[in-house]
Amino acid sequence: MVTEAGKRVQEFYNKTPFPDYELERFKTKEDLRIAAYPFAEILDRSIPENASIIDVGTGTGQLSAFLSLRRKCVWGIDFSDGSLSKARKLKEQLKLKSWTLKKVDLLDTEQIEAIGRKFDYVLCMGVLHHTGYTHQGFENILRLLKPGGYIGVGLYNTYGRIPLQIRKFLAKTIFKNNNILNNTIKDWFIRMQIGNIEDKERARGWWSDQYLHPYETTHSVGEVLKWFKGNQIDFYQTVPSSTLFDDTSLETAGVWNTTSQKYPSFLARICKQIAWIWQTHQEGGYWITFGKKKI
Amino acid sequence: MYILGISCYYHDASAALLKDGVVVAAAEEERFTRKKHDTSFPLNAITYCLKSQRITMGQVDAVGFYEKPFLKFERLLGQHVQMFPKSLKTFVSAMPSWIHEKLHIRKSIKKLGYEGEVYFIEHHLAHAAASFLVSPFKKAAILTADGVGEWSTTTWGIGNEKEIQLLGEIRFPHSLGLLYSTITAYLGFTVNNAEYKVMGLASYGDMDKKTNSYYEKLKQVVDIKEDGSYTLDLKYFKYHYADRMPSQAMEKLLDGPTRKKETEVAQRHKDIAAALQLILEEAMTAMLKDLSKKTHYQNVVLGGGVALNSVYNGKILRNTPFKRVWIHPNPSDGGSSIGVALYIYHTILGKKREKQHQLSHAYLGPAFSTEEIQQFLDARGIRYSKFKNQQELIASTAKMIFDNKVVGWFQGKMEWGPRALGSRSILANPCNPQAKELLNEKVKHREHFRPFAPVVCADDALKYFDCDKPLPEITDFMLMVYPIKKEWHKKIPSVTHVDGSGRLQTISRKQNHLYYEVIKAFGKLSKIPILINTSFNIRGEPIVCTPADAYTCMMGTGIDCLVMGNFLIKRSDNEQDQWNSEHDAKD
Repeated sequence: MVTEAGKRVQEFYNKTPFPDYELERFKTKEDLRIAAYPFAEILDRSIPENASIIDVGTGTGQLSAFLSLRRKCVWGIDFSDGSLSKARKLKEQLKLKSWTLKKVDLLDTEQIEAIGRKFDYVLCMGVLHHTGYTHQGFENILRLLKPGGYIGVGLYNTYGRIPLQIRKFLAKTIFKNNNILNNTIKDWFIRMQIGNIEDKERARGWWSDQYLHPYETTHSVGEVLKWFKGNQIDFYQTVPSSTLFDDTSLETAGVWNTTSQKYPSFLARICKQIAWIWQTHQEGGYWITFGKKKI
Repeated sequence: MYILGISCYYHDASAALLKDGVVVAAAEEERFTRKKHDTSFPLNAITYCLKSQRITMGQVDAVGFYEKPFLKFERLLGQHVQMFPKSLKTFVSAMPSWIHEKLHIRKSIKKLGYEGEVYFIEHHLAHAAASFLVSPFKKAAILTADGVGEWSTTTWGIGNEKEIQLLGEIRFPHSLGLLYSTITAYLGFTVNNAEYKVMGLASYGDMDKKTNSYYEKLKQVVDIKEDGSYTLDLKYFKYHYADRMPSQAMEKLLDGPTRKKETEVAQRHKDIAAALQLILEEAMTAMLKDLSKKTHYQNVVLGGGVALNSVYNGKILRNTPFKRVWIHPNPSDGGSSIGVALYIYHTILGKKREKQHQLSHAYLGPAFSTEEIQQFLDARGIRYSKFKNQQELIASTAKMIFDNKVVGWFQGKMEWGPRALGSRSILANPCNPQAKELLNEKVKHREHFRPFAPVVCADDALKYFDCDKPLPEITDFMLMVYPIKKEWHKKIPSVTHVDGSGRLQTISRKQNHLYYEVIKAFGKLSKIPILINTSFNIRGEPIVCTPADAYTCMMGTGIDCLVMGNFLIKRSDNEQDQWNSEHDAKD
């Protein structure tokens, strides 16, 4: 199923692959390991070594490449040739044998079925909100998950994204025609999100992804909980936490940890999401929900 | 199968992780928080343990805590009721932490993301397990002694395969550990921290029982029976009801008030330290002799803080009928996290003890890859050079030490326990007569009487030191003080203590290849394959953990260069970062 939004997004990623990086940064596998975000490191520890993983919408593949470092079977699929070609270069450069890359459109059920196997872990981080058919996409990726398998879905939050939308409005309208100011603001906004911006390709990638993206939607916790319920997925937790007074240490507990959170009530969800406006404004309101498919 | 052991809230907080019974990671919280003897819940150490195995709490099968908090609380309450109203002040100050933290261990563990079984075992059992279950012995007598656990202060028993039986105990308030700490306080040093300084000071005092008048005086305080059991005369103490330790009666007995920190250490203080050491040795010897008689075992393992008294450890095999001795590299409370984890694995879950479970080295802490170190150096704009290969690293390090440079040595995994054993060490030339003074003043900012320890390759030890034969395994952990052979006293003045002894560390190629080769290479240059090895820190600071800690420490002291991984960083090349750490040195 090729949608109008899908086409625009595909074109966009062909031109500006994401998450972009300078290939030179990853001369060794150790470089890739060190460059992993703290959250990617927690995610890696939360998944056993012998599990099979598929990262849907892997883009240039920094996350799935990192996860493949100590595993036998990690897949990365994406529909953008531009992003995948960079991923392939990385695979070749670091000789990542256990990392399989394939061009697949997640909205196309036939292509999904053609993969011909199911995985223990399905990750879909920051992808579905660019498809235009988020719910449909979610149901499609579930086809790749084994019964009893685990899923992680990262999306923009309806509340949490408000500050970025304001920044975006400022950057695109108010400062648009002022070159000097524009660059300063751009610099500042990007620093806010990813810290130092020495890797120019990475900074450009982030700017495009967050500020120039042709299509994005936002989603609330309640919405995703409904999808989970409707598809026989047990809810584990969200990151950041959507439970009130939750002081579990994410670093030790990892994700998919049943002790850390309980199912958030309507009121708790509202309170937490309002808090996310401030709490997640640097990440552009990004949040991830973790669950497990019923056996 | 993963088992996590936790020790905290009293002395040194720490965490240890076992994988199928093998200790794969262990570290003290102080190294991460940079607070010496940090007692808080060891979240950083636990996170490190999990990270090192790339797991989360979800994969941990059991968690153990090193003592029984409720039993200890019961003792505390009883003790305060008994001593009411004198104890009111300490009672009021101690209660909040009990109510908020110490009685809520389960809750803190749950916050880690763990809901399974939590085991609590007795304090001294954890000490016994930490030493016995990783020792090379199938059967051994066990003696543990420290300040106080729940009720016990000293226990003895036997270990047989995976079973540990404690047969007897001495209970609070009678405690050798607390006696040592009380005199430490009397001599003006910090309790639970500087006991080892008193041990070092003792060598300057009169070690003859007949001429040292304080020996007889201290004998009035402790009554040592023939079987080694002892009682303290409590009129000399205050610790059972107050924060301060020595009472006025003690001050009167020892001819003067408690020494104030900034005042000079007089000969009297040195003699008191010596008398205390004599008494400790007498009690320990009596207990060990009795234990040998009761058990007929040839092997003995020691646990608890008293087992850090390396001066006495070196005398055990000479003074008692035991043939072999083993002590955990971290025998005090910090090491109990390993103890409880092992106890769960072997004794509670009944898993067999195998050879791979023995603790043959203490390199259990965080390590940093070449890439990580380089990233740190580049990010900070530090000037450095890279060694072409290991041969060059070994040769240049040996040459720098031979040229009387002080070298910071940062390699591989950080050591477990209070001693630097060649991963986070400062190395210097022992043949240089000025080295001791230079290190004490310019580098470590510490008291001039404190000796430095020699490190020697295991195959050379018997040439220079009058050690037990065969060489006990635990000389690898710097736990034994032995006399240095007379002919070498003048040749290695900087590591020869005033009484002609040295607290040596032995090292084998298998344990730490790079360190071993550097010592050998230095031996080729100087004809004496011995180095000064002291912990990489300044006085009162925890040993360095990360490249950043090491660099900061070097730049604030008189360390000339830092050999960190494959990199050489010179102090003189990085003048922009120099600072003076002298004012930061504390007890």
